Amino acid sequence: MNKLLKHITTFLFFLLIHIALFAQKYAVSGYIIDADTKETLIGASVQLKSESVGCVSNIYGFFQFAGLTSGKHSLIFSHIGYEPNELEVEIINKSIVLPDVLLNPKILTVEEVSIVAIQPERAGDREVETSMIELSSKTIKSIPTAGNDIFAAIKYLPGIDKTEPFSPLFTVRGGEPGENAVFMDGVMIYNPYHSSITSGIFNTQSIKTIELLAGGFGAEYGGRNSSVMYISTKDGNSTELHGEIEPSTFHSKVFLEFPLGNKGSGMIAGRYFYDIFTEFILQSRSYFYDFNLSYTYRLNPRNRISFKYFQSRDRMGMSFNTFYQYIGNTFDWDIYDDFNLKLQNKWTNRAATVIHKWIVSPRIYVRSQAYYSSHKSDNYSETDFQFQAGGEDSDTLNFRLLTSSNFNNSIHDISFKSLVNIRLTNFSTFRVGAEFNQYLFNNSAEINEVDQGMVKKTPNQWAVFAEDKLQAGPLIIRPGIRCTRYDNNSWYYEPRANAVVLLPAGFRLKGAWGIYYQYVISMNTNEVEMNQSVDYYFPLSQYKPSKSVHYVAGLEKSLNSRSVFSLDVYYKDIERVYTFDINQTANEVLTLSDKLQQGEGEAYGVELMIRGAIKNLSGWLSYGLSWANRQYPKLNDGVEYPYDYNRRHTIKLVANYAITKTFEYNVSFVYLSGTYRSIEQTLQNYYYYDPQNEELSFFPVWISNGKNTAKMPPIINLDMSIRKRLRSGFGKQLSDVFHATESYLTVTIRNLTFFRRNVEYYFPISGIDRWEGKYFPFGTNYFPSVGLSYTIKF
Amino acid sequence: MNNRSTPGFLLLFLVFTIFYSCEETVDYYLGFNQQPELTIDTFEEGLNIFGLLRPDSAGDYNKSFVFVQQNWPVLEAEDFSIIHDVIVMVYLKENGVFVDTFAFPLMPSDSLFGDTLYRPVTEFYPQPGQTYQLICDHPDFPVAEGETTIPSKPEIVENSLKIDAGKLECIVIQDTLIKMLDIYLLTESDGWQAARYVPEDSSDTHIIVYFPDNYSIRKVKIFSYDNKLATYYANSNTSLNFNKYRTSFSTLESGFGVFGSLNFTEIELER
Repeated sequence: MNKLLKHITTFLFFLLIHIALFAQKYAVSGYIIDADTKETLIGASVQLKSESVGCVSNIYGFFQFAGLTSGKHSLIFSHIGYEPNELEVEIINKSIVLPDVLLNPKILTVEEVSIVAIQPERAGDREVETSMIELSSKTIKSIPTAGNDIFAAIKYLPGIDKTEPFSPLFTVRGGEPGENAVFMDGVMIYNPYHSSITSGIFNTQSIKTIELLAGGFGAEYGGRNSSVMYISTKDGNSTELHGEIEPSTFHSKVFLEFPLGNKGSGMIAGRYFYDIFTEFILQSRSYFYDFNLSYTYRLNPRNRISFKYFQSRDRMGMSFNTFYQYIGNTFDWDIYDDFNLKLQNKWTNRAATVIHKWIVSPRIYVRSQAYYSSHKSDNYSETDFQFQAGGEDSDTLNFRLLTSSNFNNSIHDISFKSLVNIRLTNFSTFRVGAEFNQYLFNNSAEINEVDQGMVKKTPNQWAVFAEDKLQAGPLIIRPGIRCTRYDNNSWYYEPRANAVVLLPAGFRLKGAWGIYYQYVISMNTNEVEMNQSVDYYFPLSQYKPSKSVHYVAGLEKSLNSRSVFSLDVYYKDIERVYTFDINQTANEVLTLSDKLQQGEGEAYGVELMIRGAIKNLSGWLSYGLSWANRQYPKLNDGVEYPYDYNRRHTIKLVANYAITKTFEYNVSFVYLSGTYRSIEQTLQNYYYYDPQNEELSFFPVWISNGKNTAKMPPIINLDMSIRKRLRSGFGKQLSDVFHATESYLTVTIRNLTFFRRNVEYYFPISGIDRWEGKYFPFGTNYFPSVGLSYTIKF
Repeated sequence: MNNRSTPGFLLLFLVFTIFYSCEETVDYYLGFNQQPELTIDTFEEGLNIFGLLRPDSAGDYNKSFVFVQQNWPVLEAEDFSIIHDVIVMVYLKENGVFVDTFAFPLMPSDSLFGDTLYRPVTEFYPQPGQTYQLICDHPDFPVAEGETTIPSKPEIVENSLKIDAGKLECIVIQDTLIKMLDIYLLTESDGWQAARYVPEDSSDTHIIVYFPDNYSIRKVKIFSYDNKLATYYANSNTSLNFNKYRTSFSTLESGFGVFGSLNFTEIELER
């Protein structure tokens, strides 16, 4: 506690110094908004006409320009895609808050349309972030296989990779999948995925911007060791009704934004997906839906309140018993005595929040929020089949596989947080904040009919943070500290520091360092479940938090006004990490929580990226080189092994070519080195004994013994899409019926490199001459596919 | 290349790709090595045993048995039938000393037992609390050895057994030798495993089992397993997951598999 007080006192001291030294300078602040929709604009630039000083609006669209003297000043407000706006302001011995500054959208030429927005500065509170990538809805839509999904799109960025073939979980720079925080308007979202089509639960139509901080992030964020994804949703058009409807072969979407009274605006967005295949072939109903509701009320120029609600639900179920009977009846194919494979996933996400934004004074901006966020999942899989292996031969037993797993996990999170932004001088932005979270965790599991016990915990967490962004000439530094107390244990201190140096000739040198603690981990069940699709959150109440130390350095060079080259080098010292050894434990540790193991690891690498636009072509090309390792005393005999999802080389390309303003062509390409897998080398039969019927049967189990002993072949994928605005024909006529302003047809062709036959798994086969001594490689995607979607906008 | 020849070229390319793709793709495909690059050899040689002792008998034969197989290199697995010519001996142990010896010769299947197994031919009635040592010896493999302590017969708390429409409840008294319980329900014509429990070390086990309302349960059988068999079942790592870290399993002192024991209680229900 004394250490905490010492840190707080130090920052307050610096704050007072600022106040004393610069009492005679004044500030101008306010919101910068889109003149048509009245949405706040993130990263809009504010510049003093006579000098090269300025600032940038933050992620809430709010700017604070300090260090001005009394008198008249001309300020130029600008943002990519908008006409600049010049305003004359007069300061008379006090700081002022401007009414909302309006920027009019401008009509972009074909050459100006880009899927990658390159801005000299980022959002005001992000300009010193070292490993930050921004994505817009347009960018996500331009990636053919992203399917308008954030989590599919981010896997085209360097340092971010998928985990298992059918899983939506992702890993960032060698970190665990459960170490990535996802915030939607400041609300922590747990398991933001859909099971049916391994996509995210966020409707891109409702999204304003997405920022991914891939490492070295500042003190504002805590509780996750790898990355932070911050998603800002729209408040809604407060001028007139607009919307978008998109039925497609995959799922249907609707988006509406509208004014509500003179001071309010609302937004409704929803999606529904229905799996025809499982309904008719497997006689099982699978679907998902998600929807967002938003209402923003502008009480007065200094106060805004927003209410947002989000819900998603997944039901995925299939039973192959029905399918087998169908095949048996149709083709007279009857090789099994009995066969059943059942998969059932039930997931529900809910989030509700109220946000208050308050311009206390021109120098002080406060954002306060209360929210509730929950996730519940119930995942069950069962396989049961048997047949006579030896026929009449009594020396050979019956063949039987009986395996099942059932994981139940729920987390409820009630949180309150407040952040104060203080801009006392033009070279210092001081931020301080506090957060309280109350959690309820419920975990239970049953593996092969054995109850692994239940864990129910209600920990709470206090966190305070402070950071000061200081600018002196070309140097910007941001020291900060975050102090967290989890479940009434000791306080943990997480110092952070970021720095940017603006060099001549368009170069920027960046650096970051930070200590990160995580108090909630995700159980790894992919060695038991057929496919781990969610993070099973487990609180570390009786354990020390997992810990990582980030070291990041980078160099950026503006190639022209629309393109940037970047080089990032990172090293992560994973000092403490946990895993669940679900498979092999002694009888004494049958319960779930006792299977936790502590280990350590490291991850390091280099990322090169060129992003931006040249004439009609925009996008990015990246190359990544990385290593990641882990070591646990009781796994792999305590020997260090390559991390499961590490890929040594990655090449990723996303390109958009605007042939005309209404016709664009998109392509995405990836080359990924193979991951490491535990390839089986021993076959050991497992025996089932029925004591009532005295029957003994067996199932062959493939044993690896060594962890990640083999490297898989590389993965290559090429996809493309064409998007055309309709000017005539049935599609145009249909959109006219709805009084739509625009309609589009998109054709997507996936897996053009299907002849590559990417290998995802190896199956050990013996007894077949043509494959003697070889593993049989097989993948999950052998054929190209074509998708059509139709969109109308109004 | 002009526009007229482009479609022809594409067609030729597609035809070539389709036919080429029919060739063997296990080794190399389009220049890429399709086999995994293995870094270490992790094969473990040895006998793989399933040995079970139980106190009941069937006529002249005891239901205890041992099934002997082996671990295989995964790409050379051939024959899963019982290995012949194994010398299987079981010893009764008291205070660390062998006090009795039982041979388990290979017995062919007959009208009573459908499988060929190693079985005792002399009188063999293992009792709760007794400890037995198994030794399996074959010239081509290392010796496999294991030990088991016969679990107690499950005891039900008096008057705790209740059966209602679709639900059966009872309380099994805690016993340090019992590490797992399997509950079987039997009708006139069928029987099935209804539940599995891992008892707490220091408290009785409250059992609740559900069954279809229209079933008429005639008998309840509660099987108790010793520490070795319980571990074997609890940690069973059977799965259709490929290429996952999964270590070999053994509850033996040497060799692989399990040598365990069970006991049981049978309760006839009133009609």
